[in-house]
Amino acid sequence: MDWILIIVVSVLFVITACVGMIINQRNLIVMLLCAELLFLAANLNFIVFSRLHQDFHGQVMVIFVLAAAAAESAIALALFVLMYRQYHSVDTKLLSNIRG
Amino acid sequence: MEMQAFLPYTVLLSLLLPLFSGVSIGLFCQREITAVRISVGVMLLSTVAALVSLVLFYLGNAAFYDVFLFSWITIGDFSCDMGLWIDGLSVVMLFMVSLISVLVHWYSIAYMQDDSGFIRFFSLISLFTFAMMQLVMTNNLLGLFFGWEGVSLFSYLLIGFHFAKDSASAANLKAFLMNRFGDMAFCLGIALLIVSVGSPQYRELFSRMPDLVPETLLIPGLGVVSTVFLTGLLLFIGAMTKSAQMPLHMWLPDSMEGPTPVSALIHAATMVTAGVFLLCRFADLIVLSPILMNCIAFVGASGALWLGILALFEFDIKRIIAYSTLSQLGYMTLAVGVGAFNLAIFHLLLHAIYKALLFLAAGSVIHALAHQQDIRQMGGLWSKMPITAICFLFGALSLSGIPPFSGFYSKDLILFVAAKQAVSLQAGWYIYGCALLGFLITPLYIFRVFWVVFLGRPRYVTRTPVYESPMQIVGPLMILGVLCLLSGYVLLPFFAGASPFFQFPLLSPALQPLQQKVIDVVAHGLFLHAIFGLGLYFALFGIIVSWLRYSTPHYASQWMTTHVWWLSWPFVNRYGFDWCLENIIVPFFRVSASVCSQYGEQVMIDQTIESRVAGRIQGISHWFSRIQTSYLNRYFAVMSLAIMIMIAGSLMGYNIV
Repeated sequence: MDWILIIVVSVLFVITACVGMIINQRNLIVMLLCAELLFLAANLNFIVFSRLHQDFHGQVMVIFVLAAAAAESAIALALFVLMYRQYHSVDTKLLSNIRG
Repeated sequence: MEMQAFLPYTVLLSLLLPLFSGVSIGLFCQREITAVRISVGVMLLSTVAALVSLVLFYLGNAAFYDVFLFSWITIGDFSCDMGLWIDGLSVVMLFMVSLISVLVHWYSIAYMQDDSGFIRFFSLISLFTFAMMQLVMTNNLLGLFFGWEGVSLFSYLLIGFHFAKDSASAANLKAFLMNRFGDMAFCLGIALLIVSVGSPQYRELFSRMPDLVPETLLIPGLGVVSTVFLTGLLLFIGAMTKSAQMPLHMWLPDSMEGPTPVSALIHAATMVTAGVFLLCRFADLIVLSPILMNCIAFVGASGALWLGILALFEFDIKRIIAYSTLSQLGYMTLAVGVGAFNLAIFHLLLHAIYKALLFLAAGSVIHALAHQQDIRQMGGLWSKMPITAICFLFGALSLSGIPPFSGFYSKDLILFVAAKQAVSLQAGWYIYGCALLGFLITPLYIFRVFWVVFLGRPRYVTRTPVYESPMQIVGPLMILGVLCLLSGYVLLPFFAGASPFFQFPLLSPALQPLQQKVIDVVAHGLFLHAIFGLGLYFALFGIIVSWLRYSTPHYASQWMTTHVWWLSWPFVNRYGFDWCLENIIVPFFRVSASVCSQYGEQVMIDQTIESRVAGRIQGISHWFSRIQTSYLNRYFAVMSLAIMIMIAGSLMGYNIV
């Protein structure tokens, strides 16, 4: 029943990430960290279930997800750098041009 | 392996080359010399390909070839395959179109050289040539419609070529709108044919044509109408606008606002004959309804006489020739109406040659006199421009039907057939009388132009002395002049001989004796026949009368319009057709447009929808737009809440997603 524990850990990851995303009002980098945490939770589930079903496809998938996550965070960080150059800050409140 | 296997390729080459040159010049060409080289070279190639197709078809044995190119539309059990319909009619038309087109291209090099829209002009006439070829070569009704609208469009663009001029933009609008009226009827006719036969392909249409005879349609308010009659009538109304028949002809004289090469190519030789071509293409349908044939003959004969008379009251050289075109189109329609389809096409070809010649010769005069079009300001050009004068004379003799020039052959045969059929037609004697009097009127107006323009005292005022036009202008004139002299005699056996070049496959039995009579007349010698007929004497009499009346210095006397004004009044006012258009039809549409604008646009849309409905919606949406806070974390919160609800719902057994 070890895998139940790991699932619980991944659910905790998800909850942490969501809460972090919602209560954090300003910092974009923290939001990115939370998003990475979501990926991590998903990866953990992949590994657990691939172990459980004796199927390697899940672990292969993890590699792809990691690659995608790395690319995504690289792009996100590059955007943050650009934003910092523009506004001298990475505050989400500054990105509110579409407010209704 | 026969040579005829190459036939689709040569036809396709001839068809697609003008498209290529039109598109490439229009989009990419910057320099005038390149435009000339591409378009004239490509048209020449296209003409050669058309000539090869003509010869290949003539040497083959088949009555027609139905070439499949690609499947265009498939919806349920309706399908439309694009392809080529290669038979005598279409191949002859293809060659005629490309021949006139290449000569007009050549002519335009010098005629249009000072114009700022030089490259646009060449692109448009090449594209027009493509549309016309597509119209004649296609093998289904939708392709025919495509070509039909294509020639309308390029005619519109070329009439309004000098679009900054008010009269030109008014004329092209008039032509376009009047053609839309005919296209509406044409569209309905096509739809009716497709519905009653079930396929737009010519192959199915022609083979199932006789099955349509017993079919009828119930029209609310009119009662039961025979399908054949209604379809034929709708197609004929379409042909009437395109070929400018009597009540729908007003756009053609106004279309002379376009440059002269355009008038020669589009409004004399090719596009206006599309209506006659259409009637011949659907000969199998038309012969099934004798009432319709009678109507066609009536309309054609009326146009041949009454519109010809109007040319006598005009002073603009191009408008005179335009009225002459209307009159000759009337003769072609008359030939269709009396059942002589091959004579209609024969006259169409000869008319294309001599009318293009007349227009181009008139253009040569206009060019030499710095865009002077009023014949009262010309005169005495015989010695200054001898080649143009001789070519114009050849064209005029052809038009009048004097042997051995080309017009004689077709006109004499058409008159003969009309005389034979007159007894069996309703209003037959009126039809025959119109055709015969047309023989008198034709030389009267065309020799009026000749005497006034080329003889007498010079009345023009130009800054530079007047010379003969350059080789690029008189070259096409000389070629057309030689063709005028030869074409009638050479082509006669193919169109009216013992083994006609193209047979209309299902000519009704009633018309076969007529065909035989024509063949007999030709076999005994047409000239001999003409000597014992009336037409030739009427034509000669017309020339003499016009010599007596118009070669004098009193050529422009207004005696008739001032002293017997009641007699000339209908002609000076052009029978009131233009008056009707301007004072009844246009105001009617203006009033209905303003009613629509007042109640439809302003009351319905502006006041009701825009201020009430749209205002309310704007209020609601303003309220809703406050949801868009633009804070990422709130968006994320809503998103995760939604996902949680969905998961919870699916756990509770609701099938949400």
